[in-house]
Amino acid sequence: MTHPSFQTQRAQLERGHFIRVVNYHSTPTAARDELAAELAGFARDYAAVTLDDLDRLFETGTWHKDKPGLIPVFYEGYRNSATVAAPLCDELGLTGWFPIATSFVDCDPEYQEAFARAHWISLVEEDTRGGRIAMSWDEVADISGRHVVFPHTAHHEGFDTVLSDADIDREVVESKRRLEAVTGQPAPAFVWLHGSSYGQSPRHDHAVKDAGYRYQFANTMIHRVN
Amino acid sequence: MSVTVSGPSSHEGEPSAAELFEAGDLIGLLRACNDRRLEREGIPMVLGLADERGAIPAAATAEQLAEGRAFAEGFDLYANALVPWARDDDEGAVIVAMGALGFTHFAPGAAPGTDAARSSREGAPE
Repeated sequence: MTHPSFQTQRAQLERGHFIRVVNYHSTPTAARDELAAELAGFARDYAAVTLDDLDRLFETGTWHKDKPGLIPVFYEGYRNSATVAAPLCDELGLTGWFPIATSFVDCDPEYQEAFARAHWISLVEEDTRGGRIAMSWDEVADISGRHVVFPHTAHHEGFDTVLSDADIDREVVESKRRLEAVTGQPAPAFVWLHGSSYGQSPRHDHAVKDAGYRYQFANTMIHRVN
Repeated sequence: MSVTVSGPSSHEGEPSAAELFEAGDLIGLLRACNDRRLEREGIPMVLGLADERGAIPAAATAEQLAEGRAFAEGFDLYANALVPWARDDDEGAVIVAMGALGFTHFAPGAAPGTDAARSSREGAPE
């Protein structure tokens, strides 16, 4: 297991084993132009990273495109990730990576604001005008055809609050099944709330590995698990 | 692959990460890294790669290795400047240093911290 540490991180960088990531959350329509400008800058300077590209980087250790790779990650499964961020990525030729709290999507729109407030999902003013805040499953299925979607647990939980076997099954395993049933393809990655690293809890690590995820994303590194 | 990149425009009226570092304003740099307008700006990160099944093959290009070494130097620079008190396995502190590295390579006005910047800071009055 690779534990995050200064020594580990430095060694990964020195070996050339790194990737650039930009993490986003709610991307409201009102701020679309600013997001578009930022993403356009990234699209100019960096290359898209598909799942195949990431697989190849792990298999060879070598980045294979002319420009460095960059992964824009749009967290939580907000409706505006599908209506604002994904279309901008489409326009700019970027591959977006979308970690989705699957129970947020499942939640009745009437209760989604309460769900968000109960589960550390931050909201902007536009999210609070009523109506659906999370993506619909149709939107999830649609963006999965062009981008990478994967579970961010079911309820936006950290490993330190997922304690019982039932909790683990719901947050790690069932979230994967739910997503795959809609996308028709294996969910390739997983990420805990707070981007906690693999290697911190053997029980949770085994759950992620046994569920069949290929990658675990964290705030320090991307772990290839299977 | 280039270490120095031209990113999107900076917050109007605010100093760049490089300027903050040059001025020895480490708290300003730390705040700038954390005070992103999350509804319209991303959080830039450089993430390491770890294969839990075995070793990742060595990077085959001199360019990628050179960039990695430059990133490692930047990482040490920010670690020493921002979180010199941290244990080696303090994940939060690692994230702070990696966040500064990402910010100074992606963010508005991005420019990597350099030895010159470090010398300038070390020469500044306490």
